[in-house]
Amino acid sequence: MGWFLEFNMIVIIIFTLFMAFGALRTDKVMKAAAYLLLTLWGVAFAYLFLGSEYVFAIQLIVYGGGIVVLFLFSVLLTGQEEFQMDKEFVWNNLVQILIALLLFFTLTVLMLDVFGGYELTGNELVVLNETQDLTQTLATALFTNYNYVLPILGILLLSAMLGSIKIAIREEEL
Amino acid sequence: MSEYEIVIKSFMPIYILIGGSILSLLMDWLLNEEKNKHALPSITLLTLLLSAFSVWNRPDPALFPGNPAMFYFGSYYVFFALTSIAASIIVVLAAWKDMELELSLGVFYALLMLANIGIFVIGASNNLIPLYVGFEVLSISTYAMIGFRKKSRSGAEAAIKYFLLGALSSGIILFGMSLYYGATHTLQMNSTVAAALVSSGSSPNAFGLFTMAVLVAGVSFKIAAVPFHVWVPDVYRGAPLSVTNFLAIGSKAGGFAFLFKLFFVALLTIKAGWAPVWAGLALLTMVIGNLAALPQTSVTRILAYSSIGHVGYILIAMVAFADGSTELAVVGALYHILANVFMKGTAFVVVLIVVLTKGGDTLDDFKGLGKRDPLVAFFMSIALLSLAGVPPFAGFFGKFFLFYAAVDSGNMYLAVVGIIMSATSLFYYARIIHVMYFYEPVDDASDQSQPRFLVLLVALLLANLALSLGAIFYTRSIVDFATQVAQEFFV
Amino acid sequence: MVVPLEYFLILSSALFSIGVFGVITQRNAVRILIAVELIINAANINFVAFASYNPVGDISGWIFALFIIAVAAGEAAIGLAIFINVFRNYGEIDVGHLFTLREV
Repeated sequence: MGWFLEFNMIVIIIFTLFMAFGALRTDKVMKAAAYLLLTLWGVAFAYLFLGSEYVFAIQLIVYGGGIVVLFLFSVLLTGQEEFQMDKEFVWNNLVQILIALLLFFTLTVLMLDVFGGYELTGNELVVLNETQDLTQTLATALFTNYNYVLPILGILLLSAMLGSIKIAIREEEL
Repeated sequence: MSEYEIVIKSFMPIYILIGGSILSLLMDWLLNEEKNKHALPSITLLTLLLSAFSVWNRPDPALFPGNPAMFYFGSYYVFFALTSIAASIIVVLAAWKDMELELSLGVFYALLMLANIGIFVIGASNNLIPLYVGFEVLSISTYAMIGFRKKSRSGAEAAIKYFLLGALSSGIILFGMSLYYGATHTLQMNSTVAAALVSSGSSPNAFGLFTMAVLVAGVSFKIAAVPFHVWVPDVYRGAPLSVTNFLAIGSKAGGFAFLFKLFFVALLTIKAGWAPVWAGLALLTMVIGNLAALPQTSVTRILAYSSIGHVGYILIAMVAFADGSTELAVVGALYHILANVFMKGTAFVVVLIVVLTKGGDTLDDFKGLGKRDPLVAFFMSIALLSLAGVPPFAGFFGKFFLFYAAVDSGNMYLAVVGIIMSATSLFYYARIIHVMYFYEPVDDASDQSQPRFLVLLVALLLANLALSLGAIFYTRSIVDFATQVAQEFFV
Repeated sequence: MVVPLEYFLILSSALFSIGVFGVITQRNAVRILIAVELIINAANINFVAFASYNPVGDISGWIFALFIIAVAAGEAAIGLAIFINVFRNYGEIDVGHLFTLREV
């Protein structure tokens, strides 16, 4: 059973990374938004493998449903269809590609050095997932310990809403 | 006091600000524009004052419920809350005239009040989640305020630049925070040893260094330390001037509140790692900020570069804190942040007055201001001298405390570079003063500056002088306050 | 039966690197925002993974992930509004071409 899960995870990783790269390399704006959506779905499935069904659902609904639709709206409103593409992309951006690769290797080596070969202690959420209702645990934590932080998120969304309506609306038509 | 009473009293300043912003939105909808032009700023001022009053009357911070408590409404919070309120009052009085022609003004004042909530939450938070959310409340409100003048091309450009860099920096900060969480297993900020970040003794390992580097890069964007400062002059020039004023005094104080919480509390265990990094950034920021200001001809850009230089002075406090003289570093940083509010606030208000009468902010527009409007020129000169660090004013004492902290912690070179750069800065400040007093006005249009502006400028001058008198006569209580703040860092 | 932690760390570091690569190579504002979303997602994977593999079962990483998703939505909303406004003023949202402020 274990090898099957790992195989699925590898497929998801490859899928997510390809989609992420596609979002940066496609020449159509609409396609870029679609690639972003697929990347976000891949990340959502990674959350499922981590035992967090609730975050999985929120990722699909808010990120996949909300943010990508926002991107599509902005694409429609700005009337752009194609990005200006760089023909000699690889050769013109050799330094940036090297920087990204270097960053990737440093980060991977450092993280695997510290967290690699992690031994389960039996208290991890990903282990408890099969015996406990973790969504309930999450809700309890959210509404006991973090209950004074949630209203501040509401303030943030209020200010984002006010600002984006004010900036995006056409005032001369009011 | 019951638990709910404590919570309600602790959050009262935030509730008042929310109430004020909803009221201003309602007034925007109900009243006509002619009435709103004066009603909205008055309501905002009243709300800010009420909020300041309830910040002062807070309950005992240790009683705040929660296990572990998410918030601690201590001295650190009080300092930054009152600083941001002072900054916002200056901004409101400047925007009263500056923004009066804009549509839906209620949204502007609502955003200003919501931005204050962000700074309050940063100051009070004990946990990375409220710290980040508060930081984003501040950022998102400022994005909208910068782009508020929709018809102005430069405003739109400033907004997109600030937004893209801000979004990038908050993404990078988040990544750093996630590494920190993985190493420490908790989001609660305290100064206990984070085992995975430290190799042996107190020196950080490679992973700790990387986490720190990611966080340094992210925060440097926000406070505009040197390798990440290029956006500052463009954004300050493009945004509406009253919003520029908020960026330079209010939002900057919020950025420093975030920086100190993150590094003095969460990353205290690896201070051996970040002290040299901030020392290097402080040197670069002081030198490049002050040198780049020399050839500028636009006064807004001169002030933008000078505010980069001032970030460098305040960063000295980071090094001094890490190297042992904690109280002095805190005194220097907090005093200079507060002094900056009054000095830079005055300077930007005067730039606003000149732009409103002459239509531009170049040195040519300042020619003969000493004859056209002697009072305003006088206030500007005081503010500039204070920024340069000339003795009787608050800017001098801020720099004095910072340099003293540097010397006390054994970092003489920082103080030396700081003094040299203060002397350099005198050149470009003196250039503005020279232009104001030793040139004839280009045309003889005599300005009649608004009485509201004059009241504001007088108040700012008095605040500046009061601050420097406080530094002379009440040094003991300032140091006591800073000791209290420093103790809150070591929970 | 659980998937080892290493897979998630590799995924997050690769996404972070792609995001940084996107930010430093792209010139279109929408595309830069997409790259920033990738960086935020990398951080989010880290938070969820470190919470799931926390030796003391601390759930706060999952909660932070929820908060980050909400904040990212707000940020995207205001950012795209700003892009629309820039488009109305300039007719394009290519950051490489917006240089008027430099000249003054």
